[in-house]
Amino acid sequence: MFKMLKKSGFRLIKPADIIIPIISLFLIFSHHSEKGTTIHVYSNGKEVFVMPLSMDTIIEVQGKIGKSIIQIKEGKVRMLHSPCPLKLCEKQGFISTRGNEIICVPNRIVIRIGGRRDIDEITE
Amino acid sequence: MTKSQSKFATTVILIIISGFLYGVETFIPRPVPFIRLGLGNVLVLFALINLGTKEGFQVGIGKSIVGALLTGSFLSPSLILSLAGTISSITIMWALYTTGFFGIIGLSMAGAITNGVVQAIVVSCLFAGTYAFAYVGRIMTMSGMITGCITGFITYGLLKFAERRSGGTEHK
Repeated sequence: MFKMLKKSGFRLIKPADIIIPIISLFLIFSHHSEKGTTIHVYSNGKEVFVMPLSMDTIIEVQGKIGKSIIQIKEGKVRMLHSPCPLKLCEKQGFISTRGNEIICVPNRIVIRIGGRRDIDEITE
Repeated sequence: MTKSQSKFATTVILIIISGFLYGVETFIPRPVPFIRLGLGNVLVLFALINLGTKEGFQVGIGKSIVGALLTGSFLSPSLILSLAGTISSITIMWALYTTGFFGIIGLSMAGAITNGVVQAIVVSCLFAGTYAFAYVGRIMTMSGMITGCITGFITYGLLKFAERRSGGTEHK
């Protein structure tokens, strides 16, 4: 059987085949951990802040039910304090990868991380 | 019939069958709109290996055009998508096949993934933003690995069948 397969020039599986799923899995997961360079803060659907992630600072944003405090530290961003009842946005902790978001529903605040290839920055 | 005539006849038959399969596939309900099994790819890979490089490209491009005519999407964005995906996936499969290191499953997987990823790139360039590509591209890669595996098995069965019928070297 194996002799016959060799003669025909094609085989069902060859050892090199394992490369293809490995490369594709690598592509799927590597893209995830791309660092962002800017943060975009939206309050009630409107963009209120665009800041570089490299600057350590604290921002106050007026939301629907109160003031949210956002902290940028060492290239990461988190919701430091929020007036919302469940504090889910605070519990999410720091985020730093491109496309990630912290969303505070009660206070209508969205923090999104953008990067160099961000479509918003290309069109600006 | 001479050798080249029989090759031409086989190519035409493969184009018609693969175009028909492409058309039928669009009518099967699917969980996510862009995931499809890609049975047309079986015949493209079959033509690439059994008939030759030129015939592989002919079957692939013919498949897209016949399929678009059958589904009524000729000269619409979906034809551009399908042509872009098909041509790039054949190029990749041909390049990998000529190295000789890859089996049918690997070729089929690479073809399916390329097809999906290129379509995702074209979609995000034409209509949606780069964020869409990050998600659609990932879904396409995952589904391409699975569907490529399935179509690889079918292609292998077809190649073995053709080999038994013709002695394997009729066209070469």
